Amino acid sequence: MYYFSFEFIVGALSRTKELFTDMSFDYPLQQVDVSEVFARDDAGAMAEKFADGSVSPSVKRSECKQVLSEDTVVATPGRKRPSSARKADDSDQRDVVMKDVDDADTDKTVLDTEEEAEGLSPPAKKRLLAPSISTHGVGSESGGSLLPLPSPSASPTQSDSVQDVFGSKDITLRTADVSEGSLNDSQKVQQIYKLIQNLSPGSLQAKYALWMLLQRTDRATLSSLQKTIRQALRKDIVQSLPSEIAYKIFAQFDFRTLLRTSEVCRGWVTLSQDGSADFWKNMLFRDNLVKSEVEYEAEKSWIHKLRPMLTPGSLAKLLYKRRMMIGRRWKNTAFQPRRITLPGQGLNVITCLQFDEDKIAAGSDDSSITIYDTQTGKLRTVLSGHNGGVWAMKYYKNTLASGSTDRTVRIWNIKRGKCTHIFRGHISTVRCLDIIEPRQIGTDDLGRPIVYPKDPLLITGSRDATLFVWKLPLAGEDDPVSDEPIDLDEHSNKYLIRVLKGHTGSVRAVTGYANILISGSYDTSARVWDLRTGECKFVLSGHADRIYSCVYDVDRNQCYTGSVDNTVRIWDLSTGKCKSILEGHQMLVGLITSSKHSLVSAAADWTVRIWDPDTGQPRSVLRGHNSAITCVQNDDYVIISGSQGMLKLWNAQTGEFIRDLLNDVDGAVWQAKFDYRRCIAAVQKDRRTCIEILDFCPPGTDYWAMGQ
Amino acid sequence: MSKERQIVIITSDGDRFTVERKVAEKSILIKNMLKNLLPPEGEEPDSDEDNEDNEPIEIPTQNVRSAVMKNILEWCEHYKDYNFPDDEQDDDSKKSAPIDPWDSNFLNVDQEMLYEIILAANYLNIKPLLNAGCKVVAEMIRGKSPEEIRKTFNIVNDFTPEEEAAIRRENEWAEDR
Repeated sequence: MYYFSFEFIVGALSRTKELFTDMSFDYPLQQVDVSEVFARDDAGAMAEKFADGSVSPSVKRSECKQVLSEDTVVATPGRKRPSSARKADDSDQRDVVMKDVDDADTDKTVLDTEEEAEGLSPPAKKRLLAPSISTHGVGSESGGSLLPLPSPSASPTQSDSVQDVFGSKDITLRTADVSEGSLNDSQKVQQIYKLIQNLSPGSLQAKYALWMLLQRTDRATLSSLQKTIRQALRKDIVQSLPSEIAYKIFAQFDFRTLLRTSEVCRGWVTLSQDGSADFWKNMLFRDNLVKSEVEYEAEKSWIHKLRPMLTPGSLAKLLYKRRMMIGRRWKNTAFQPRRITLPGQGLNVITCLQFDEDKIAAGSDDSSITIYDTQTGKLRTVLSGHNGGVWAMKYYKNTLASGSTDRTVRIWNIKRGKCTHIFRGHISTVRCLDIIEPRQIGTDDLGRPIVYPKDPLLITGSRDATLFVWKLPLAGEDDPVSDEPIDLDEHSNKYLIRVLKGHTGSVRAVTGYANILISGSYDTSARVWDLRTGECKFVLSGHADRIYSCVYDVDRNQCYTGSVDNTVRIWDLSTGKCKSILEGHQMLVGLITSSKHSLVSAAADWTVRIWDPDTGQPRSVLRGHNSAITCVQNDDYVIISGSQGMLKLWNAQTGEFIRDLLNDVDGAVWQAKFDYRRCIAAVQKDRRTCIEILDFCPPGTDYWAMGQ
Repeated sequence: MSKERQIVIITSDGDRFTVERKVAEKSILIKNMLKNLLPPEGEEPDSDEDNEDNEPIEIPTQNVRSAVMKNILEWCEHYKDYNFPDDEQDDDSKKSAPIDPWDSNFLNVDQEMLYEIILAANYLNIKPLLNAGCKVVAEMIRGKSPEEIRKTFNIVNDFTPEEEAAIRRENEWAEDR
């Protein structure tokens, strides 16, 4: 029946301006000042005055005339289209309008105009309305048409309330009463009001009547109406939607917004509760407050044991709050972390440092590796066996791998404190190593995850210019250990998978993830290897001098290299091309570290610099050290950096200095590492090497875990 | 050369929209329906059945009215040559990619229309549009005070003053910086 439904028309009304413009063709001229009346704040007062006769219609009429003559170009104040933009078929209408302006003092002319204007129904209007209803006929036909519309010949009725409601509009409709002769405007409007009252809400008839009225409304009123309609259409979308969609909406929020939604109303509280555990967990990862699933699960089960009454949602929220609050303590200089100093014996250099909630491992140039208890600082064990300084070390669970100037790689059972394997093969110092954990690298045709490597791999890089890929022998905590380690040479070692050859100088840095390995060398290049095949995918060449460090940014599929040539380079790992050269450092860039949102470099020029990892643009230069930077680490929130006698904490987002973490160090700061609550540093103090533990959440202040 | 059969989407209020196949197939619901009715795109239809091939395929969508469908199809038309990455098809609650500016502008409609577009995108299984809709609603909430949120969505505060104070105390930590 209808080609376009009414919804379409109203929908179009709120979206397109053209329709408004088209509709203006039909404006009966005498309605021009409807907008005036609507726009007045005192419209109600005007209506009252009019009702008691204190304002005569003729007063309004002259106002109306004035308005018309002031706007002679377009003649209809509601119409804002410049005359040049009007179409040719518009010209008749304009003629009528102009004529009316000239003869506005005779009501007869106005009537003519109205009728002519109606006769000029534009094609757009005919298309939009039911073909069976002629707009022209609405005024003259009655019950016979498809839709029952007010009949002009019906008897007028009196009602004060109607007068009140429509009183102000009477003024503007005044000319029509002359045209009809029998009814005055207010009577007609009262009649319409009665008829409209009888229409059932939402019925086709009601919609049609509304549409008719809208066509007789000027632009200014439509504009205010649109605002009112938009307001009226406001509704609680979130609660009206199916809960799985509401879940998707809540999942977008940051923690502050999520909490605020719980203050909106009861319904929203219930709504957000269902997904609460997921929301908070996802936010912990999204905001990089937790680094791994293992870490999350460990903390969750620990707090669950302490506070078993918490719901999963409250527990996840508490984990988030705890991390956030501890993070604030780092930045709050009024908060002093608990400090434990573990004095060493000599003046050895700590060359590598790693720690977790349980243990601290420190490798030394005195050829030993020392294990401490993270909670108490107690010395647990010393791993000795290397015949030269340890310069590379990393542990995975209970297995520790180390590389030394004695050219061997050793595998240790940390708990037992014993060396289990000696891997030979490198013919010079083992300078760097990494352990590659199994990761999902894709899915097969059936959607099952493909994991690589199957078991953790150990990669060692040496001054002999090669990299060795080993299967890491895993040491269970309770595995029996013999006093003598298994000593394996290159040819009889079932753990040796392959040797990566290609570099022509010392391999200084190595890092990897899943099947990708990146090595940086003194030959000035970095190489990208595929561990599955041993193939060298790219040679990243461009640095003018030795590479000292490299970092693999898995998410951005790029890597960063720092060189003695004072620059940092960003390499695109899909092409192997250099994306940017980061210039600014005045001396060799020895250290690079990165987090999700920032790239940090530290150099011998005493500065630490923050860069945008996407564009390579410099963000901040951190000044305050007065010698070469010896260690640096960052996350998305803070940066720690060490140099002779100093260990500084910076804001990673702003680059601002926050505090000195240690004030009484008089020698080198060899190494420093931190996690969400602790900073561990290997420093030289009073001519002795010490390990310092700074804890920002010491027992007794962990209000979240303890529930105080 | 056999002509491709016409696809006509019929709305709940009886309007008919004739659309290109790739536009219609932005809806996974319709795509799956067509899979059973049509040969894969680019392949010739079986010649044995050619007498049926001239009949347009009518797809009734009982839950979507014409004005909403018109918007949905405008969106599908805009993205007809764009293949959304697989992860866009999945639940992306862990990621927080900002909303595409075109989508944001496209969804700048009144709340009733936004609500119905989201419902329709869900029903028709158009995940990228559903995600965009959810992001727009999330944007309407983000950074607002509870009172501003209530105002935005015409929500009545049904907490007792005591309850409200208790929740606010509970949430205090988030407002400190």
